[in-house]
Amino acid sequence: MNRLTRRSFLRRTCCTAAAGVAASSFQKLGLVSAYAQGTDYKALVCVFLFGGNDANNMIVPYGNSDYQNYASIRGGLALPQNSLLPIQPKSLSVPYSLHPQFTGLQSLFDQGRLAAVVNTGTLVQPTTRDQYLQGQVPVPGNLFSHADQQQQMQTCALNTFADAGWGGKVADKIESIYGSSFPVLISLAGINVFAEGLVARPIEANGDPTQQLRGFSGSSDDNARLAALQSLLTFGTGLSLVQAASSTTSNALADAKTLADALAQGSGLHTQFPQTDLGAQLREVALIIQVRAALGLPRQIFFVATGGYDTHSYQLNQHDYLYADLNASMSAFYNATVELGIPQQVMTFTLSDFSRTMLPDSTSGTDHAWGSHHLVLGDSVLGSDFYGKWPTLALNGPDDATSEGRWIPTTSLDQYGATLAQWFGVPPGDLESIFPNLVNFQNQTLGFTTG
Amino acid sequence: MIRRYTPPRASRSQVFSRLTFWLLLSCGLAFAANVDRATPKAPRSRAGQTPQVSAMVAARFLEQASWGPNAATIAQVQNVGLDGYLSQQFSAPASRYTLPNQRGIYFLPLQKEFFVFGTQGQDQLRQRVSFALSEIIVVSAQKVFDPKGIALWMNMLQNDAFGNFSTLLKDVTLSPTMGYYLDMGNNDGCRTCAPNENYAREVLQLFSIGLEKLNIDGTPQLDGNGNPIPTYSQDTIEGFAHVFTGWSYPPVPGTFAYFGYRPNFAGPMVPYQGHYDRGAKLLLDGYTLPANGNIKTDLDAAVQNIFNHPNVGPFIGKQLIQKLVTSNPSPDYVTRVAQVFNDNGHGVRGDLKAVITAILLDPEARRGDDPSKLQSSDGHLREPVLHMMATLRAVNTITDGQNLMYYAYYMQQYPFVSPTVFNFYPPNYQIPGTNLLGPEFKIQNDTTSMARINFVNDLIYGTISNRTTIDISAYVAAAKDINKLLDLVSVNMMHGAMPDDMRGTIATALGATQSLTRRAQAAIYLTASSSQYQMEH
Repeated sequence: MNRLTRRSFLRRTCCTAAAGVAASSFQKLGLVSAYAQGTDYKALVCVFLFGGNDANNMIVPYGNSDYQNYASIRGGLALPQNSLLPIQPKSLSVPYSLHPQFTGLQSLFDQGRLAAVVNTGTLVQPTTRDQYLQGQVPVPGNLFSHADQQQQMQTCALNTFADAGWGGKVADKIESIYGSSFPVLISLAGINVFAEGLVARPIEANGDPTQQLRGFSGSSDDNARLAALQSLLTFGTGLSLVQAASSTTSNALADAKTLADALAQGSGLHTQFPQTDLGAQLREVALIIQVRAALGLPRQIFFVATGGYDTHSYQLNQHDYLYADLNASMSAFYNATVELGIPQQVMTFTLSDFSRTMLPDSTSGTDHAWGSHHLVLGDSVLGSDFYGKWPTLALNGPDDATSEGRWIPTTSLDQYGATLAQWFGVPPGDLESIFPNLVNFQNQTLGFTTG
Repeated sequence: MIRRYTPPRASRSQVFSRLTFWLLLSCGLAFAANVDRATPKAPRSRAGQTPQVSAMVAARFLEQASWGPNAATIAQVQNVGLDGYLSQQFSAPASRYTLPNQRGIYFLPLQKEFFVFGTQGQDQLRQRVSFALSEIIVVSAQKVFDPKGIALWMNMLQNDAFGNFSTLLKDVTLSPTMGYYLDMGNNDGCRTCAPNENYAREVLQLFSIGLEKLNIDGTPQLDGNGNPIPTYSQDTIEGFAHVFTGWSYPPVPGTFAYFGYRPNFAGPMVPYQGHYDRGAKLLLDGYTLPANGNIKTDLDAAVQNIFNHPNVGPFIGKQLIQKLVTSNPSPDYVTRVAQVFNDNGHGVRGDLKAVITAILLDPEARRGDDPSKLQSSDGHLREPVLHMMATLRAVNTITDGQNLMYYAYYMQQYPFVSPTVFNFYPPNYQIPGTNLLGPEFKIQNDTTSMARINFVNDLIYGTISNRTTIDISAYVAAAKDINKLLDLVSVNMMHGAMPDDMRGTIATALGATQSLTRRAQAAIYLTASSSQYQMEH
């Protein structure tokens, strides 16, 4: 009972096996020359904001009456109008604004490199307030719960358990096209289901992903000890969890070495990143992208994350701090892609558990809600615009799931993910196998990318 | 009923050829035992008395019921038996965290004490249980800025670990540390805003009953369509959020008390009827508190409403099993523990001492005492601090705790600083590609798996801090005979169950040096860094 499944053995050996077939599938698809010239490279970078980002204060209506409506509901959490950073979405006639900390992102929006995908979240199918309140349509399980909504945002599996994420499934598809000698997906925020493929195995690190074993001098008894350590990792004990632990450690030993060797060929970056956890993760991503040729990867997916967004109390101060970091880190990362000469080939996007109630709570914070606004950044983004439908900001209004301003998403996570996946190279016919609810929506993709 | 369980005697059919050695060893260890001083009720056995259990059974039990066995505690358990050890531990005085005066970065003294208590404290079982509770009912120094709040919180868990779950739930609810962490402190029952839902949601979702109605065996109840049945709705959350209004922090003596008092962690939160919401409140299973209730009696009623929900036994029981014994307990095992939670045999619900006893003496916890009875899914990955503590104890470490927290940090388990209320790792994490739960695997990744091994390196070959010393003289003394050395390592670190192929591989490596110290170091390093050891089973 309870043995490791065939799949897990498959995925743990896939990289060596896939490397063999890689060359032939390349040739069949005519991809070899572009890849060999280094022109065929794309990276997707997911920035996950753990805790549930209150997007109601990330993007704020700026027109006078719209702002007044916002301010009257937000009360003590309303940002002063004269502190906001105005932006004008191209396809809309009314003005909006960004949080005062988003100075760099405001410029990127103005330059057409940043877009917002608004009121987007987990949806089985298009859902109205009446349908939700009367239980007429299926909705995602355990709404408003952190763990469940994080899981759903990372897997698109809304009512079933899934141990593979949509990032990992995109990696599966990419590996089936390009092959892979090294994991396509790297998480620098530890283990997250987003990164797990059905076949593809991610690298999941926190802190330094090139950390190696200490204490081996090269002496004969140290060599014997190292050989024993490696040998012990190969023993089947009949205990499933021992095998699982050995797989992780074996992969770690190999990955750290490969990554360290590749990074040693990098020339470093001039771009300055903020001295924050998120800044450090994005800097590491840029350094890895710099040595993409050494790793031999035409496609890479990265997962980075930051926490603290669960702002149940005293939200204004916390948001200043969180958004200052997000703005500086994302801006720096964009600058690094310019320095690397590939701003068109890297697309950065945000995800979060959910947004938060429009109505403040009694401790100057907000509670768990649903549909949220997300940011997409890169030179392949059709920027300066909003995608999706802005919600009606009214308590008990047509978009409110309850009476505290929990917006029912008007665009689905599946559409958002599918747009990114298609840009990345997943054939349109394969999108539904990764995004299971896509079939329930009229437009499968949102059109916020070029190419 | 509390199960009483007699551990199996080692069967003759066992493949372990070194049984004779263990018996010899155990006599020697019993002679050397010197650990009962701090446990006054400990029955002392006469020197030379036949051990009640083998060294192997004692060591394995200590892997589950302490931070890890060492020669002294193995001898102790051999002397008094498993039941005897439990009763000693239930009455051993609790280690108590020193209340710090400084704020800011000064969590270090607490983190150091955590490792000092774990390596040297006598209340091993209490520490394991209170730490397990701290990972089910989570606060974090990431938000709680005052170390006094964390120290008092841990002392409360230490105090309540062997009490009644109902007491624990009430203490947790009125703890200013929790009040600050999940915002019940100064949650105002005002008319113009919504009450804060944070504590209401998490006390239900994480601390007591979970999202789905459970059978007593811990599996979800399903409706006619095969879907899980939610335990509560958003309306219930809002009901509890209204109950949890009107409480503020205790005033510093000599200062004026008022609702909205600044966070003060010295003492339980205090009620202000005037800030308590006046409406009726929906609780679990359709129970409602009428309007205009009394803030204190309503709170008691709400806590009892949660405590009496049938989910609590299986929900909490299963998690405690996972922390102490195995990630994948059978439904029958969960049932037996939940039944004890529901009734300790004397009509009392929530008796944690009885629950702990039931968990540790259950046939499923004990079946691995005979390694041939072990199931392939048994056991659990030692979480980072457990791996550290067990290794520290196996080499008789004396430490002031300095620097150990940083090692734990790089393994994603910085003591008292959980990243979220969902703990360092969740109880339902499934190892990808398997049908097995492996909660601790959520933080076993490319970086942390290296960090574990490098911790072992620094402990055995390097320096943790200038006030951390290890004593491996017993291993060095045995190292002339590689077999003897490995017997000792196997008993102390792997309850005598080191597999033959592992043993052979390590023996080969040890043969590469004639230095007895290098041999002892290599034997401990290779064992402590192995998956076979990291995965306690």
